[in-house]
Amino acid sequence: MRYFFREIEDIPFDNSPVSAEVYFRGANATGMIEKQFSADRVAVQFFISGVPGMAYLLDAGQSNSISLTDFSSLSDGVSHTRAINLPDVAGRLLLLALESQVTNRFTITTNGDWAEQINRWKQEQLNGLVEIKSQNLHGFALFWQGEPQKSDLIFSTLLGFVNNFPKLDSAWEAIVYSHPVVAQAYQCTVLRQGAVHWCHKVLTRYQEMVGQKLLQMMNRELNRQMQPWRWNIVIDENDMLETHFFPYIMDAAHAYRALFMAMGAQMNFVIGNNLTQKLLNETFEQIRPDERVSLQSQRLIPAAFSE
Amino acid sequence: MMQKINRPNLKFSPLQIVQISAVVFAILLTLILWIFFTEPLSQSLSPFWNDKLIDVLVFIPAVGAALAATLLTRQFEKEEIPYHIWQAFAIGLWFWVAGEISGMIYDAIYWDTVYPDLRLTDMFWLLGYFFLGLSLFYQLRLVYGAQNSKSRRLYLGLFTLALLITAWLTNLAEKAGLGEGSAWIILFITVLYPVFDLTEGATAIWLSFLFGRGQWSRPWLGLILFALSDSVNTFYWLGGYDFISIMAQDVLNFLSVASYPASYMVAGLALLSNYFILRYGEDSGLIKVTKQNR
Repeated sequence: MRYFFREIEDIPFDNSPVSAEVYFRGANATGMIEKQFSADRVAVQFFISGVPGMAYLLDAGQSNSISLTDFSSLSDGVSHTRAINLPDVAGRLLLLALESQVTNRFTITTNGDWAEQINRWKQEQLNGLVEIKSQNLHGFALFWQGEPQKSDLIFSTLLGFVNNFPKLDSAWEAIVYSHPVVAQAYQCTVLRQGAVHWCHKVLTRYQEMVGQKLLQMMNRELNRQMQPWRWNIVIDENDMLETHFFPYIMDAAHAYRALFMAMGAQMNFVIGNNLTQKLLNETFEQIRPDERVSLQSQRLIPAAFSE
Repeated sequence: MMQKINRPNLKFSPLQIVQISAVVFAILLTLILWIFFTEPLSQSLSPFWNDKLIDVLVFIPAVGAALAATLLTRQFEKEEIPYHIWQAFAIGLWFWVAGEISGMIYDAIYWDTVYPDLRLTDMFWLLGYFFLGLSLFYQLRLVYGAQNSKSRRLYLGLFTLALLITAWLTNLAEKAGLGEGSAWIILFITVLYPVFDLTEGATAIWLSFLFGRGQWSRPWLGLILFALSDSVNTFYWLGGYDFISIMAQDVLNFLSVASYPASYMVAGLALLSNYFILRYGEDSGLIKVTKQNR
């Protein structure tokens, strides 16, 4: 039996979490080990770029964080152990789900119902995670300001992982989560949204001031500078495509700090210190207050990125 | 999608071209100053040829700056805002090149006689000021984020205001006995130059402060030098030389003679650097990049 991302092939092992751990560590891979006890009781441990991450015990829809030692010692009653590779986006959304509470659960049977539901979330300006399950489908979509976020949308299907909403071919069970503000995964999400939105505004304004060519030059330089870190972050045109699985807010803040510092240095060379400061200040004021607070809490502020 | 940058297929790298141009300009500037102060051709040929030699030497950086501005403009798409800034800058410089040429022609025709009161040269200079002012206006508007379709009308309004202030100053100058014997319109044009110099020089200084040490601040430095050069002439015209020592007069003369061609040179080099950066990107050698995986 499988619980999460059922459609994804298991990594072939001798049913031992130890050999799975050796694999993840050796391949610097991101994935999870799932220990199934019963239909509604499962334990999960994450591996993030080969490093053992956090573990959770999910019992009757309630998830609780457990230590890695506890996870290792869980063996009684385990009916099946599996390990799968996870794209970073799948990992971070699953982690967010495990750190959140279910607030609503309903079934979608027609495309019309789905379109209506999407509209309702848009009107409600939903900020939260939605899990969708069906016979041949399991995945998550993060909604922000009522809009599904393209970089936070992933489904396991019979064809593997896909990054858009699949066609509704059978009834979908939709689960809406609410997120405690103290949850690390939620804090990472808000920080990520803040960094992505601020970055978009900075790049758009910079392009306006200096034109497309200098923007592209800066993007190439930023991408080059980020390469050694192996973050799944790419700057393309006016957007930051952030698909990295940062389990801890400090790691994410470190990456965004490096990015904004490089951006500040590049802009400083072209438009000088005063204008860089002005541009960063103006764009910072344009992002949502909660995202701004999150960035400020990590000292990701305009003053930190201009000389 | 990211565009590919053209790799430089030149005998010299863009950085070397900028460096060579800077050396050539430094030699030219030295030559201009030497010819101005020692007048080598005045005795062997005539003062006219000495003056024309200086004009020709000044003409070289003037054309260079206008060409560099044109090349820079062409690096932008027409719908991009910086295109309009540098297009106006280039047009302004080309009008000044026309002013330089017409000045030489007028000298050739009228050197030994009386120059006409109204000259084509003035029209070229003033049109140059108009477009350079427009360029400054576009840049300021972009920096302060005020985007609206009425901006050209706003600029024309400000330009008209400058003309009205000039008219008022002309009346004051007339009452003070300046430009005696000249028609009002001639005095008006004479006053217009310092008004434009002051406005555009101050705006350029403001932009330079805003851009700080940024690469994009440098073309504006040329305009500041130009205003400095003209302000010495204005000071002379207002009779300021009567109140300062001969030594101070020499210093001002030197400043004026040096800063005039230097303004074209500084603007030209800055525009050329910016053109190379846009045209060849990291391969221009004019910007710092990280070296890994290149």
